[in-house]
Amino acid sequence: MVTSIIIPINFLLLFLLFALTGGQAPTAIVLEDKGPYAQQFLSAMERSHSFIIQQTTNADAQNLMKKGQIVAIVTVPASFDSLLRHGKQAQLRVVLNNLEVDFTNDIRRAVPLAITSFYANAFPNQVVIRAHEVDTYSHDTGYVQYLVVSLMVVSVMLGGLLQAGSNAAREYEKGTIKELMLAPASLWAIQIGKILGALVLNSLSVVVMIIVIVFLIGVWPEHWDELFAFVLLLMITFVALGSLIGTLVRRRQAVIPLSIGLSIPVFFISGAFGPAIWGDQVTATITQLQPVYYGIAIFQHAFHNFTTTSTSPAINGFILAGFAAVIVAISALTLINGRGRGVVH
Amino acid sequence: MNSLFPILAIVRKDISVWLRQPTSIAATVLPAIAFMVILYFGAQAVGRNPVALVVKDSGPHAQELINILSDSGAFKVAMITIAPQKAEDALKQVKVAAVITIPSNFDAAYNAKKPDPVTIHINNLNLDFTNDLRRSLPAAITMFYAGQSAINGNNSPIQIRVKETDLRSQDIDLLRFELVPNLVLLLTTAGIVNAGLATAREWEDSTIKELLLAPISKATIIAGKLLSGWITTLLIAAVVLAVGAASGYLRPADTIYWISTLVIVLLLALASAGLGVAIGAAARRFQRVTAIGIPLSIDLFFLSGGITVAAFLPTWLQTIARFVPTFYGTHALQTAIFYSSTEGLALDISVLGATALVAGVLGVLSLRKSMLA
Repeated sequence: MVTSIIIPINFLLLFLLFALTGGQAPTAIVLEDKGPYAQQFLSAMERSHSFIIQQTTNADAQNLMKKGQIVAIVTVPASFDSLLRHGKQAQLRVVLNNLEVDFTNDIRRAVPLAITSFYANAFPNQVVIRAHEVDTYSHDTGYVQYLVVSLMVVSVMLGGLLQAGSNAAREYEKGTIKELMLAPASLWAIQIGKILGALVLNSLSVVVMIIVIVFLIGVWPEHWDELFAFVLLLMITFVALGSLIGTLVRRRQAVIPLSIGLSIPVFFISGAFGPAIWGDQVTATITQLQPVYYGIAIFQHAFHNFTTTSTSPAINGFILAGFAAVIVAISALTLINGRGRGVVH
Repeated sequence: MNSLFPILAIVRKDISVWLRQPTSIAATVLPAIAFMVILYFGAQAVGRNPVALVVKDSGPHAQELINILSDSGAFKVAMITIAPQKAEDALKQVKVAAVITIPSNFDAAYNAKKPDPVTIHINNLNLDFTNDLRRSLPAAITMFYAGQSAINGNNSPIQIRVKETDLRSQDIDLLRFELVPNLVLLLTTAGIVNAGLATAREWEDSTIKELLLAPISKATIIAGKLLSGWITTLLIAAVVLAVGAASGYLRPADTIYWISTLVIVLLLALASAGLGVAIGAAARRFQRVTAIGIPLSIDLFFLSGGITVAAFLPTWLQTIARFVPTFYGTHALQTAIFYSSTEGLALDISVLGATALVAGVLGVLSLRKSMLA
């Protein structure tokens, strides 16, 4: 049981570390000119949502780059103000630690963004085209606050698979499956009982996760009723899936890698970082065939009131309920069909 | 010499058992495969958000901006329309991430040097996507002005030019870059889980009694266990390196970088196997070994950079990463394979060598303690 609590929480915290990069590049800016235009350019860089800026000397910047603590140095030349005032060309020197292309391209796009927004403020009559932003939601939601909700779904999945999978596999490892099979009860009742037992145990891990997300990380649900209703539905789905896996592999040793190996890729293709339909079309189509996609959509609605799928939250709920019913049925049928397979030695 | 045959017998037995256990092999490769799948899908989607363009002006400047937006590496233009409602519906149905509207007086305002706003309506679900979009439209506007500069020479209103200097000779794409931490994850999982399971198996199957009653020293048993874990891990590493080199994804450019790559792989495998023996002897149960070993490997993977680029992490997290041995393994392999450099290699090898030594000692102590018990 400890495993089914610790492993999902561990995942939750590790993925949050990944979110901390937040697409902002640690950057040193060297102002060789301290004039008003240079200062305005520095402000434009700070407002570009792209850099974590340290203003340093050239020597310090080189030192930070050498230590790997920054990935870019932007140098504003000594004659910056004077050149711009006279309408002459000024050269901005940008040194990049181009380790990987995506992160590097973010910087390559962000420097022009800073230049354009600098011009829009410093020379409003020269650069007349500017981006006018309108946002759908009244406030921005941080990457961590968004991701943590998706992580909750994968944590419920992982906890359910580990708990129910281990419980089911243990019956075969210990040979107690024989007693269950010979008991004067229907196999449906036995499997439903096993699912309910695992559900109760799994609820401990889910409660711990809700406490971490709501009270430690501070992401407060907008719809508590949706959260509780759908967390229960998700638990039933994944506990039933765990029972199915445990019944099929019959070894606890295999349940852990299988659960982790299944949960992580499914989580990534299900729209954990943003709506799945914004990504690759093939993936977006495939992901709609499994429950985590709908789970993430429902949880994003419960926590942030977001719509992340083209189907409504109510439809997503019905689809999820359908998945739960089908997986519970398959899990019970697998136990019934596999009764002749015996125990593991 | 007397000890060599028993050691080899233990190694042969452990490897044979491992090859006959599909669950052990699955436990080794599944986490790494899972992350490879992640990387593949992640690389497909990174930074290309679908947008709708509403074009209300058919003038040449408007057309030029549309071309820039359509060719932009930052957007995926999913729809170009003159009907604003159609685009707004697509935004509402989450089919696009933003709607960019070029106003009807775009060319006229531009020519008259009057304020000429291009509206971007963003579905600001989270800051990662939103900031990508916020960056991308101004970047396109900058390209537009750069185009005007090419036409008009020095008459362009934007007179700041960027002179970029790259520290590396090539940019590495996300998928290739992340293959190295994934290889390190595979090595640590393989070492910890395989050596751990091979050690725990002796208690689980009660064969430890036979080993202890055999006319060989405890040191021989310990050496055999460590060696079998190391060799199993290296077998997996050899397959991955061979495939990586054949495909060109993980191919060091020169002999010296091949040597440094192999040294790092040998050290990582030894450290992982030592840790695996320590965990296996302490846990003595298969389930405990996988429950400890796999999450531990994944923790090390994330803390050493994992699915991101360590240099972009906040400073405090980079400081933590420097206490994680796999960080040095990842750094050394990326430096050798991608950048043909030995930058920081001495430190990397020292840290990994010390880790292998400490892990080996831990393995010896743990196994010795469990055998005595």
